[in-house]
Amino acid sequence: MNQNLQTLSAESSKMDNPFKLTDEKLIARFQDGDINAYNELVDRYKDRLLNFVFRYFNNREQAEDVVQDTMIKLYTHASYYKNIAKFSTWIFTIAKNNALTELRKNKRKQTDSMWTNDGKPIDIELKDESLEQTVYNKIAVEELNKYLDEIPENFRIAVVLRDFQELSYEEISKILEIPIGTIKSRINRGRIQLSEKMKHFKEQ
Amino acid sequence: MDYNKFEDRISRWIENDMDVRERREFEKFLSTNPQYQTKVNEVRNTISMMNKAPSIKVSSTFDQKLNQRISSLSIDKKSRKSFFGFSSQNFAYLTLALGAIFILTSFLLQTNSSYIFADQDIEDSKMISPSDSLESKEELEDMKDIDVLNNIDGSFVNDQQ
Repeated sequence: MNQNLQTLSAESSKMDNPFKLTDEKLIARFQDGDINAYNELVDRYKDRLLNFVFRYFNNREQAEDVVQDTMIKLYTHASYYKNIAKFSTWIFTIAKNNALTELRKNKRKQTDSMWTNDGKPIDIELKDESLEQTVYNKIAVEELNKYLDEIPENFRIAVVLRDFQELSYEEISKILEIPIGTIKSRINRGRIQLSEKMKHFKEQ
Repeated sequence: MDYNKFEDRISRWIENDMDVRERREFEKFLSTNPQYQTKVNEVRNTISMMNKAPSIKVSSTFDQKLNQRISSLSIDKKSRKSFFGFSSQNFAYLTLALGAIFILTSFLLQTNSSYIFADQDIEDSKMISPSDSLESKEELEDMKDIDVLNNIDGSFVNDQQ
């Protein structure tokens, strides 16, 4: 009984059905002072932003610092968000600007994309799959990351936003502040360059 | 359609972002140049790999670090809570400074006022001296008279004694 009560109170302290709320509703709630809404937004975006920012640095620690800064900016500057743009566009733009600022500060480090500074492997989320498939996919992902790093940055960032983050062309255009036509062209060029390097890999 | 045009349109064809006329033109090119079908397949395969690529997860300490940073922000914000637009620290300094100014001013005023009263006394004494001097003159005259009497008749004092 006691346990049930504890569970119930824990449940009621959480936000009521956060999954039903859109990002825009969550930010509106946070603007009204609901810290749970902020936590939910952080949960939704921390990994997505890390995967995006990582492509600028190819260094996990630096990328994570930028994501932290982005989340702090979300906390301190939430009132700056106006409900005329999608929240994802806004937060990705902040992350991009933070990444560019950080890049200006530091020269880009060339490190192995799948390893941290301490030499530990990066945790990657693996879906349910056979060992053979897992090994193959790990190698494929390593190759993909390696080759992605070899294509020009303006192509890479656009491709990452489109094919890893699955954002719309319109959103990418707003985030990168580049016309849609140019974005489409960069993504196409980036994909072609990548596919030429990845020729030997066939999807399993 | 030449090869460059074909290459420019690969993504648009894969994503079905073409009007009917363009699509027909593209597919006609592919059917007449089957060797380029491989190119389309390679691009499609790469896109699919990227879509399925596992995502990097933030480290397990991410939330903890973020919470610490937010807490320090909140503490900083609290310490910067303003009193009449000043931070509590600056407000304390300001209060001390104002107190010191108040004490100094009161001291100066007090000192000045004693000077002022002293000056006032002098002024007052200057103002009453003419009448006083008139009286003293009369007294002086009386004294002179006594002296004169003393001088004329030396026995006067003795007599008085």
